[in-house]
Amino acid sequence: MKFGETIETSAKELPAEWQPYLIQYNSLKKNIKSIVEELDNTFRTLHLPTSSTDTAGSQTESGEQCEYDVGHDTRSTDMCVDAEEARTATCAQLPEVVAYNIEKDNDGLVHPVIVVKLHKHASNHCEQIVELPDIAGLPKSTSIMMPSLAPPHLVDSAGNVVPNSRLVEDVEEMQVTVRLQSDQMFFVQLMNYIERTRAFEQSYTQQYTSNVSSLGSELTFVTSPFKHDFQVWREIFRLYLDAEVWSHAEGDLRPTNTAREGQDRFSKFTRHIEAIGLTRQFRDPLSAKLLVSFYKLNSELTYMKLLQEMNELATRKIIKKHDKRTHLIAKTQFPQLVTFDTTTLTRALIFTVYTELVGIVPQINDYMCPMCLNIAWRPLRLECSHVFCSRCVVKASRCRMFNCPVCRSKDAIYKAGVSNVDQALLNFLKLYFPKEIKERQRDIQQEITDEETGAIVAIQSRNRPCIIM
Amino acid sequence: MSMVSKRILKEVDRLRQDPVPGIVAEPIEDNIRYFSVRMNGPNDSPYADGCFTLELYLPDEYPMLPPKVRFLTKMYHPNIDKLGRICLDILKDKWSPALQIRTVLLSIQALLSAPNPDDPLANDVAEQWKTDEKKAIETAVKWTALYAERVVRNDVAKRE
Repeated sequence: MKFGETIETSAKELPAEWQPYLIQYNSLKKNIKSIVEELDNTFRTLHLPTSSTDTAGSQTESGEQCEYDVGHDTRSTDMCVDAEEARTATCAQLPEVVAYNIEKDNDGLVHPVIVVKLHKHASNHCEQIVELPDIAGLPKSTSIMMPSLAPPHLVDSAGNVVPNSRLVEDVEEMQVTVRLQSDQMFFVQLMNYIERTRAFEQSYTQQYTSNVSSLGSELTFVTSPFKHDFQVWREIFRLYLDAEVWSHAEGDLRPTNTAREGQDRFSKFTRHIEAIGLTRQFRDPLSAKLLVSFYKLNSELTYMKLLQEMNELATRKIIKKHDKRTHLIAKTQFPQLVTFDTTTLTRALIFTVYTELVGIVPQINDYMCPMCLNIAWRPLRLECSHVFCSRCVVKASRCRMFNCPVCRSKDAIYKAGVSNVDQALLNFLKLYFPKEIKERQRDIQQEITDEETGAIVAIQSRNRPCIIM
Repeated sequence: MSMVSKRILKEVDRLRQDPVPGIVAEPIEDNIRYFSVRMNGPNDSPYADGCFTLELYLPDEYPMLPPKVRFLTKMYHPNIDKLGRICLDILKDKWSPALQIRTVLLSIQALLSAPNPDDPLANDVAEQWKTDEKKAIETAVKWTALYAERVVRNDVAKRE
């Protein structure tokens, strides 16, 4: 499939009001065609050997930095003859250097410039500025500085012919700067697309953040530990965290997966929620409504990532096409003028979702005892501020482990006592994880009973002599 | 008892769902405390091309006591002896109940990248390591090719 079609199909996936912010690949592609034409014409009027930029597609993919296929053009000699008849009589010569530069001026406008350097040629050069027709919206820099390669004279305002050998006398080499209108148009348009999208992203981010905040404040109602739906929401968010819609390195929420992968994972998550019927457990109708908003915010996030990815790809592709067709290599220069970043914005948005929505509901994993990997039962805070179950601390000290198991802080366990019980955390956990705490309590009770029976059995068996039947 | 095996179950679960890159650790069928482990040698180490097998056993007192781990593949390493026993502080006096199977295995993998001949277990290997490190590393590469399973690295395959 052609990329132009690919981008159009992708566009259809985006919400309608987002579609204009995709880079219009096909219209840029048309521009390239006119660049090729203008390039061809310009070089013909300049009597430089035309570059073999055939639109027919016979491009030689040299891949080198700005290579005009100069010198291999048999037409150049023919043109000289024509030129002589048209008062211009210079043989086209091989340019020494042809450079293509893209510059950005202070107003942020981009100017692509072709600089052709020629060896000093016989004698008859002069400079001439040819004004090209001005096109609305473009800066006036649409002139061509070119050597009039032929008559060693200029026509002055009065119409007299002025000999003009003086101008080139001490010029060692000739430099011609060509500004192609169509090329400039191409870049202005491309930049416009990019900037417009950027502006959209900015306003979108603001709106998104405020949407998240308002959803967050509504969520606090239904996720209060005194409400029934609290447990359901906790399960939903736990599954959401497990689904890892956006994978990222530890401690950095920069997504490392693509929008498509994110989309897949997210729809897997919603299907799972559906399958296990969590939504049917909601009692408050508000919960169902909020879940829909939560879904919506998430899918918008994937759209945003998709838009950014498509635009980045489209820019890369169109520049590649531009380079291939015109042989003016922008591939290395253009990316320095604009930066594409498909992760920073999404990272910021993901961060807001995590902290302001998912983070509202405490998850058990954040209150684990590192020793038993279960909820910290009667949490004890050591002097190094690491938290463990009271029971685990007792067990560790029985095994003569006195340092903190996490940070090895010396004698932290040894020094710990009843005063180290974190009462606030204990109440918090009781409130938010009543089921888990109860279960844990039962387990520990069982464990203690087992231990005691074990001890009694041990004493009994020690006192009883071995009986051989 | 019930609680400790709960911790083990949790660890097994996580090892399965979120495995450590380059390490596979699974309990054998009829004993949840006995794990068979396969570990890729770390990149940029003489062991890079090998996949090594280890056994890991969790004593009854785990996590109050460290797991017992040893290499089953023959290793040329100053801190691993002929029987595959490993000299690593966290497996002995520096054990902490906050450590887990995954952290232990990661430490062992790190030990492969950073041999410590000053605290040797295999004296002859350590001696060789100190006197002629280049040759010692060559031997380690040779032994890896000889005794370990070859590793097909995914990341290289993907790039092709």
